Amino acid sequence: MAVSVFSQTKIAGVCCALPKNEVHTADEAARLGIASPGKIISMTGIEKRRVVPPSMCASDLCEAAAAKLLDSLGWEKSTVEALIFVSQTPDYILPATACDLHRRLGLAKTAAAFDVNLGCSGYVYGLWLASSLVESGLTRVLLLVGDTISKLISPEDKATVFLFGDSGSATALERKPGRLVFVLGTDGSGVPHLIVPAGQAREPRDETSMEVKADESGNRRGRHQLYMNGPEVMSFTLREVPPMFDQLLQHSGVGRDQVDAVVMHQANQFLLDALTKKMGIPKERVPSSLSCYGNTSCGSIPVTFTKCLGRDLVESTRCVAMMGFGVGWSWAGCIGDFGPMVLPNFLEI
Amino acid sequence: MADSKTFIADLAEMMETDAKGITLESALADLVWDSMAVVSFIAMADAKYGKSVSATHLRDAKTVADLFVLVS
Repeated sequence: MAVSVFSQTKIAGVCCALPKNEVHTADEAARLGIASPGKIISMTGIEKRRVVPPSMCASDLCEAAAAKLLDSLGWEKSTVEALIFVSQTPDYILPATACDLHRRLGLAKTAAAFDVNLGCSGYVYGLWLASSLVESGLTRVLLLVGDTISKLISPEDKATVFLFGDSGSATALERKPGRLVFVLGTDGSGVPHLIVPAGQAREPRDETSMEVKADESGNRRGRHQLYMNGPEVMSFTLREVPPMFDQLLQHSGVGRDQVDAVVMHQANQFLLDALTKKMGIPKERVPSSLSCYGNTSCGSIPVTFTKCLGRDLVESTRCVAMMGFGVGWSWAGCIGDFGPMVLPNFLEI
Repeated sequence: MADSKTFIADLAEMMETDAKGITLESALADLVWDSMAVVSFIAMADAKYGKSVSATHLRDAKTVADLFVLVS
């Protein structure tokens, strides 16, 4: 696995933005003719999610979060030297949404800006990239991470329709003493198991790709919509995530009992519980925001981090591990002392 | 080596059903073997039997005996 140890990067603040619109699992189940959604809710842990209206993009959520965070930090926009936008739902095929966010936020022409296409591992990957830029000499970096996976879901696919919510986040990193350890890995054999096959260069969107067909499980979707093989996701996760956690502990020198919180990608509650048990972590140290926000793809770690740990981190420091894993297969983890930091309340737009 | 009686009891508990009537010859199509059961089985095989079960192999399973082979 790729391992990085940084010593001059501090997370100065995190802010999240969510769409106001709530979708309840029970209502979706009723729409699909499922009389008792209890088992769906108990396995996923998701009672409701936030879903964007058609006109809203992940970049809109990230822009709102970034503006609020910069204001709360008191950072002059001209002091931001790089902007990274991590998303699988950018505004355009081209240009990079980061360039448009650069314009919308009014950053200086001296700032670098680029997109990264990653999902469940994307937030920690973004932290790794941003930290790398800081360690290379930049002073302030803005990391914007968000997805609107709801736009990619077939309303007739029971494998995905209950899971995904939308969110955006902004994280500010600056050059100050602070130790962060990262472990990252990839297994490209996972590509077919979590994929939107059509809509880009490999398979352009046309009438055929948009035709909605039933699969062997009776779930109906087009090739321009998200396909998820749940059993493969479960196998991959149980295989790769516990060793990543062990590597984080090994390379950081932090004891398993010294970790105050392990913030994992919010895939679903059943999977989180299985991982928690396998890694030997007390359940109370593994926060979940699934019940209210669902699986928000690359946004799920910052949403859970700010929602569940926010109060503790405004004035004090906690040893926190973060682990993202999924589409790709791609995984990334980090561990370090987080806080004190600026953590504005959730924005709702 | 896993014991088949214990395995059937674990499987029944996982599927929230009675172990009576389930044998190694039972067809999965006659049980509550849905997508949630498949995911639950992968987690159970890992937690209780220390086996990493491939979802591809699991897709080919037709009977309880086929599942038993995967954790043995």
